[in-house]
Amino acid sequence: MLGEFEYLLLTAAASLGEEAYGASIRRQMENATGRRCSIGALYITLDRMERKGLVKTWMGDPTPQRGGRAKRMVRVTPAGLRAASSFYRAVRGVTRNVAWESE
Amino acid sequence: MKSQRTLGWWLVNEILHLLDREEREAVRGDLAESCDSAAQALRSVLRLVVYRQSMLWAQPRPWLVLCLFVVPLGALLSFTSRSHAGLSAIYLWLVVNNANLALLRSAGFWYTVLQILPALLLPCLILGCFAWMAGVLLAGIARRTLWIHCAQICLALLCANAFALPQPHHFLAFDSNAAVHANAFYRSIFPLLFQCLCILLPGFVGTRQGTRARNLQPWLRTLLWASILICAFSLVAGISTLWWLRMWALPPLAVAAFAAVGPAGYLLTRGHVFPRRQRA
Repeated sequence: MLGEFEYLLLTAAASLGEEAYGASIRRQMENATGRRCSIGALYITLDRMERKGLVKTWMGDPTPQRGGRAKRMVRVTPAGLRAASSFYRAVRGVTRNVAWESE
Repeated sequence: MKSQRTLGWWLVNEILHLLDREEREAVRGDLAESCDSAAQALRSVLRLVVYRQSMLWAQPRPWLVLCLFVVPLGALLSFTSRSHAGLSAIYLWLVVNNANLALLRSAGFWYTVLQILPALLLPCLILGCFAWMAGVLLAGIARRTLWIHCAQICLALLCANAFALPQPHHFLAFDSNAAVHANAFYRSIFPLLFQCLCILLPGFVGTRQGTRARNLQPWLRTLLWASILICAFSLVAGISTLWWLRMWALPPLAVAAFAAVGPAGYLLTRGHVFPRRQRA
């Protein structure tokens, strides 16, 4: 079972598609949660998820926008998609009869 | 990164050197895109570096380097530098604290100065070359955990100073050099200055050169290892209480020559003395 941070990371990476890399995933997660996401936490989690086979990372080409620095690109693997889908189903199932939103 | 001129960003940049080149570039790029403050970036980078180092230290290699290279080297450098600093302090006290106009005019005084000058300078040369070679070789065998090992050697030197500081009352009771050791400068500050100048500075230069030099020629690496091992053996033999080991101790001039061989070979072959010609 995924953790909350792992699920957010997988969702952000999946929604960004080809544009998923460290900084863009971080931005996406911060926008979605309204909380700060540290680069350290992001890279450590990426490492752990790559070891589990949930994502694949590689170094992209250097781009002038970042002062010619390469990006660490991220792609969600089929195992990652399955894990995220299973987490989502579990969350949806457990919250079926609960209304968190105020009337 | 936005303003690299602040101390915080400089620190972030320095800490990033503990990461692999590829990851360092990726993190730098991510920081350039973010609007993090220097303090936030520092926290993030520190967390990542601590994690990476902990992963490295879960493998046997850094522990082997620690046990076989860093600990013996740290102990030898601490002990030898303390011993030489103590001796140099006595000579310096003799010359500096007792000099006056009449003495400076005396030929005998200058004769004595010339006599003790090699005794003052040779240990500095030996320790400086030794620390430099240790830095270059350490950068070669433990590139990824280099700065942690450097911190461990600094800690060994600091501990040697903190726990081996001679106490004034011991010297006042039965020390023939009590006047030197009663002086706070010669007792506490001079050994630290001696270690900074003769060990930390050349050692730091050596590690920087070792990390920049991607590949040392095998013969140069062998020369550096041979030079450092002969020096280490001779220094250990010199401070040993075992007579059969002391017999093998080389005279200081020979140790200095062996110590200088490694750095000299490096300077010659890396083009610092005779710069290589640019090909057209």
